[in-house]
Amino acid sequence: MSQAAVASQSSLVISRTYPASVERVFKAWTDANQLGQWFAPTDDYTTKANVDLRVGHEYRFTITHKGGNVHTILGIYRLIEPPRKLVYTWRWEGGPASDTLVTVDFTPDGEATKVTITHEQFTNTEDRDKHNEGWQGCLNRLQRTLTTVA
Amino acid sequence: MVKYSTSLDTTFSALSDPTRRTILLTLQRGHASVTELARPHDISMPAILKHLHVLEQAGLIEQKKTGRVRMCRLTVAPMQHAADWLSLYRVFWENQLDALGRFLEQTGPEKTKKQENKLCRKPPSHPSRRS
Repeated sequence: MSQAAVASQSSLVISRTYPASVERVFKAWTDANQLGQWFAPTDDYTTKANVDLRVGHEYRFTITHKGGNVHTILGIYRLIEPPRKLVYTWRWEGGPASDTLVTVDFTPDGEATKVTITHEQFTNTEDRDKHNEGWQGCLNRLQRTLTTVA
Repeated sequence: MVKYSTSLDTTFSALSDPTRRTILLTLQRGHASVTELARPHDISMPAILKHLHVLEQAGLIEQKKTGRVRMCRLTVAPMQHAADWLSLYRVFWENQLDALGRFLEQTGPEKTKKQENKLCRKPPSHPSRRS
């Protein structure tokens, strides 16, 4: 059991329940226009989403802080099961070539919807080290911006 | 500045083995000799030494020879960095989920469906199935 606790340090699971239908939450998560309206950590960011919602195709979120900093998240859809499940790779542009993996489960809970995000690291294990500098830079920038606006 | 960047991947790679995780858990309780660390595992001494080498390379443990006994102890920094990585993402996703909540609230229930909007902001977490 404690082993599992240690192992779980390489993936992150977060869930939240919303008073909205699964269809509606799934759409908010996959429609470029809707994503642009909410997929920003705080009001100090604006997000432009480009989404090609097909397995093997790309999405790209360009997140701009009001101070001018731009962060881009991009990846490939691996699994699309509307309105229940989404799996996609995740990478910060300018970061390492190694992707992380995001799985989003949309579960009906009465009339509400439970969203569970599983963010796993390092789907590619080779050649990670040499790319890691940029990755860390991204995270540091993200941390800075998140803490300054918190 | 710590050598944060290189150790992060190595940390996760080192943590990817159950024997090594058990060794780390043992060392969480304090330092231990190689013999003590090997005891719960049904593997050869060279195999244990190899695991210890991986953990040492990842900077997770330190080995010191005192006389004929080789002692190991945990070094906390890389584990802390791994935890930091996750904390960052936790903050990130919590923020995103808050933002989604606001968005769903602002845009209201879909017009095609007539839903009674009497659900409070924090609906019960236990599943309740519709018949």
